[in-house]
Amino acid sequence: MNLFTRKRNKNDQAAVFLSMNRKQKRYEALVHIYSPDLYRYAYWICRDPDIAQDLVQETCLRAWKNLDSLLDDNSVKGWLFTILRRENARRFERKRLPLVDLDDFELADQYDCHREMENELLGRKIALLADEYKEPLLLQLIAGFTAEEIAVQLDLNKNTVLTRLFRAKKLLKSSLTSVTEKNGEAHG
Amino acid sequence: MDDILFRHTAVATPNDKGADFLQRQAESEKDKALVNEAKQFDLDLQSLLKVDVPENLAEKILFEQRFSADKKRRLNNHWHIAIAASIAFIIGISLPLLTTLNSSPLDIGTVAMAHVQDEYYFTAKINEQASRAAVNAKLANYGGSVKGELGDVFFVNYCSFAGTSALHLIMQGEKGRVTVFVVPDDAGFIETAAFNNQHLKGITEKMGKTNVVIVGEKDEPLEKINLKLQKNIQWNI
Repeated sequence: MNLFTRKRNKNDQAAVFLSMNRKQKRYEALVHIYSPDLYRYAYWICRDPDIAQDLVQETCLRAWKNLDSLLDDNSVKGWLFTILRRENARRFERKRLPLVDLDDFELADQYDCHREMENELLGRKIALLADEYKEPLLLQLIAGFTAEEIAVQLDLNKNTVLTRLFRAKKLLKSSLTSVTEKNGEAHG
Repeated sequence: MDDILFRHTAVATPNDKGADFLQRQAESEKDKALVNEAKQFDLDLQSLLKVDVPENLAEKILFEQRFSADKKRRLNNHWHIAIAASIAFIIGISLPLLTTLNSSPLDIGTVAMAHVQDEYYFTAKINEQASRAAVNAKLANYGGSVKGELGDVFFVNYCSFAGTSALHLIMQGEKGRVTVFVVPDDAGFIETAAFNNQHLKGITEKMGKTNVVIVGEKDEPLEKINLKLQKNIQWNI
């Protein structure tokens, strides 16, 4: 094999290495910056740490393969989340994952209304949100996208995004207060 | 901005910087409180969503990428190997073909002696007592016919003489058995008049449109057979 490599023009090789190096640096930077939020987004989409990590791995690998096609560094975040959502959709094409077990959720109802439990409950509520509400919510609160950016991501118009964000938060809040009230009653 | 839109905006995007939205907050303490409450809820949700990221996640991702890049490089190398192997394979396949196409002509004596040696144990014992008719039937293909007496012919048949169809006769000589090949003269062999190796010797005589190759043991007087053949076979010219 050295035979083939050696025959290649030395200058070409240097240029290739240089650009490879630049690509590698760029890639490393974006992995360091975005992988935590990508992971969190993936985690809340599937609520499984291992699957979430796999999803992020696959997302980043795909990003690496297509990094040359990404010219504008400003669009990198949107690009990465788009890849992540596609990877997730692909996962669903492969197999249907069980939703969060309802029994777990009902068990949670019996918990004492402690702050921690409230959070736990809220977390479960988020996980149980329908994707059409969950996705805009996660894109806003984890990735920090504006409503306009979310609209582009999800291919919706802005008003729809706003409506879904509104409903998502209302749902979370109402379920929270209703549970709190219910528990309050039980204690009272 | 009406109440419904305001409340919707407050909940959906409490950090909205639209002038209408900010104005309503400035004008009403109640509205401001609503927005602040929504902001707080967003913060609560954010802190909840901010789950711990696995340790060394970025390093794992980068490792995976390097591994895949390596693998790709290795695969690329395999591509070279595959091409090289294919070429070697083609050469391997075609080389024997080329040698047959471009082969320098073989020496008729060498072929004859090799042939006799290969079949030595077979020809030493065989005795089919070939009749003159049998000899003639086969010899006719080479343009010859027996007119006189050839003596004992133990065996007569066609044979492959290094790829050329020749007639193979085994006759009784003075000391032992003598092998005679009748080889068409257009077969392209190097015609060596006399040849020998450590066991055998032979001569080549042009008769008709053939080369007659006579091979015998070292002490066999081959000329006698040669004369007998010349005298008793008539060749079409």
